[in-house]
Amino acid sequence: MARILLIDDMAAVRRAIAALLKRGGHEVTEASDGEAGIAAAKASEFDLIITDMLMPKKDGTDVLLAITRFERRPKLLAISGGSGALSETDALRLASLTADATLAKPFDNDTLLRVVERLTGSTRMEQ
Amino acid sequence: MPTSFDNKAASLSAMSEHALAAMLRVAVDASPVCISISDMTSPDAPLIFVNKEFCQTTGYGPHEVIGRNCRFLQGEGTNRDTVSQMRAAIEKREPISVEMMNYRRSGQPFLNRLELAPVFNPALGIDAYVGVQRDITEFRATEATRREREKMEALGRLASGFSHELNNLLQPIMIYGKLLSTSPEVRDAEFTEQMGTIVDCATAAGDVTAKVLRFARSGVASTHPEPISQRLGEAIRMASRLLPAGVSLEVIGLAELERLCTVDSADLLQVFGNLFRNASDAMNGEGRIRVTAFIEGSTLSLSVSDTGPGVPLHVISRLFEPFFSTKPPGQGTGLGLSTAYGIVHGWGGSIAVQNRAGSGAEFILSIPLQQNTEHSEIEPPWHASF
Ligand SMILES: Cc1cc2nc3c(=O)[nH]c(=O)nc-3n(C[C@H](O)[C@H](O)[C@H](O)COP(=O)(O)O)c2cc1C
Ligand SMILES: Nc1ncnc2c1ncn2[C@@H]1O[C@H](COP(=O)(O)OP(=O)(O)O)[C@@H](O)[C@H]1O
Ligand SMILES: [Mg+2]
Repeated sequence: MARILLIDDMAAVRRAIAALLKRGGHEVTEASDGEAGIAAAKASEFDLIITDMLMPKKDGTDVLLAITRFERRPKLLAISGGSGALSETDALRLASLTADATLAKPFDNDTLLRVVERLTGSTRMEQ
Repeated sequence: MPTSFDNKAASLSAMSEHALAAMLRVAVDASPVCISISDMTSPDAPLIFVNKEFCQTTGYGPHEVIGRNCRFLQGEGTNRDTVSQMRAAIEKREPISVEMMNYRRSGQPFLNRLELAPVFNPALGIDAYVGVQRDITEFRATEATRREREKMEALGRLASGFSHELNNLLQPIMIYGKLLSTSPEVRDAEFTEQMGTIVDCATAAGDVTAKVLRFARSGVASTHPEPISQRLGEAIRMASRLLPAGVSLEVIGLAELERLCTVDSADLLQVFGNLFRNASDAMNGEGRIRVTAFIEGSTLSLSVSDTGPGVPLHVISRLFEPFFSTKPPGQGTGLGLSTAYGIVHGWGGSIAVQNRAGSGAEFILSIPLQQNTEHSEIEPPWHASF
């Protein structure tokens, strides 16, 4: 079981991912934009923060940069479906400078659960 | 006291008719456009004058054309309606401007932009026509290329905006579909199957957006350098597994290419896979595919040709558009060539198609090779993605 903060501005996507993570046995806190996400991350402790990259107000890059400065930094997973202006590949390439892992949407259920397990489990990720 | 300028002006205005004629003659020959004059008082309006540029452009010497009607430049590609329009205008002694296919002395076609104006002065007994011709073949070709590029860019933007939106929307469908179908409370086999279909379709839709995005994308991560012969050889071998037994594959020139390249294997497989499948479809599973590879300067040229019927001329300009297909529904998605287009352009290269003289289509890829493939960028070791 991992304590996960999930940040995504699209409610339907966020709810679905949260439902999946809960089914996977994890504890999930949701935030609907970068600002709320950073506030939630400061308020309580998480093992993993999953953040969408392209969001209004503060976006994924802001989240990643803010969390990286934390003393006890949770693991970071960036997800993105991209937008007309910025492809998910480019968004995730940017994210990979700070995040521990990246996933392009749409991903399938097993992939997400496996990534979460590897990031939060006892086995450290292969480099 | 008259200045030298005044002297010159005076001498010009006083120029004899003879000197002026000589001056005009030289000026007309120096003109960068074709100039021709036909005498309308003689039967069938023969040419009585052509300038140097006319001879340069058409390849005919003056003695070969003087005395003949200018229609000798026409040929089987000349639009007959345009010719009729010219005839009608000339009969009425009206000016006209047309564009049509003409042929040089060598038989080589060129696109002629022709402007005709009557030269009419009853007092002087003059009834003639002056024609100005321009070879606009190259101009039209570059214009067509530019339009083509703009169209593809617009399609790319559309495809990109569309697909990214869908990527996000598909996510909950996939997640809930799978969650519901595997929910412990559910025992109903029919329900599980129906939810399974939803997930399968959402997954398939995700594949479509990925392919469309591949078309829209430019700039692709490169991988570790490897000899061209090896990386391309591997991709071609894998792609050839898609070919039915009736299609033979011949690869020429690849084995010698030891220079390094960084193009991605999966991308290469996509490109060759699509080209091979199309060729095989076009040949109804019976025929030969030939891949030819060579390097010229810092460009890798690849040609993939088949022995099928070739591409009908009226669809050639639409071939690389996403979703353009001439195949029956269910058989073609029209994404193969647009994907290949996106990938090759992502490499900074280009892909074009032409029909071969005998029969069959030929796809020609030009791929720039990096100057220095020894020190290609390596992924930061601390980043892992899935
Ligand atoms: C001065 C002059 C220049 C012409 N130049 C061309 C030319 O460059 N190419 C061409 O196809 N027709 C040219 N034409 C048109 C043909 O000579 C001819 O008028 C036309 O084909 C229509 O007549 P037809 O139907 O009897 O052939 C020219 C005509 C004139 C009077
Ligand atoms: N080798 C070929 N010979 C003739 N026509 C071809 C060839 N390759 C492609 N085409 C034409 O281009 C169209 C688009 O190809 P593609 O983008 O791969 O989509 P699809 O194969 O799904 O129709 C095909 O439907 C076909 O009409
Ligand atoms: Mg195809």
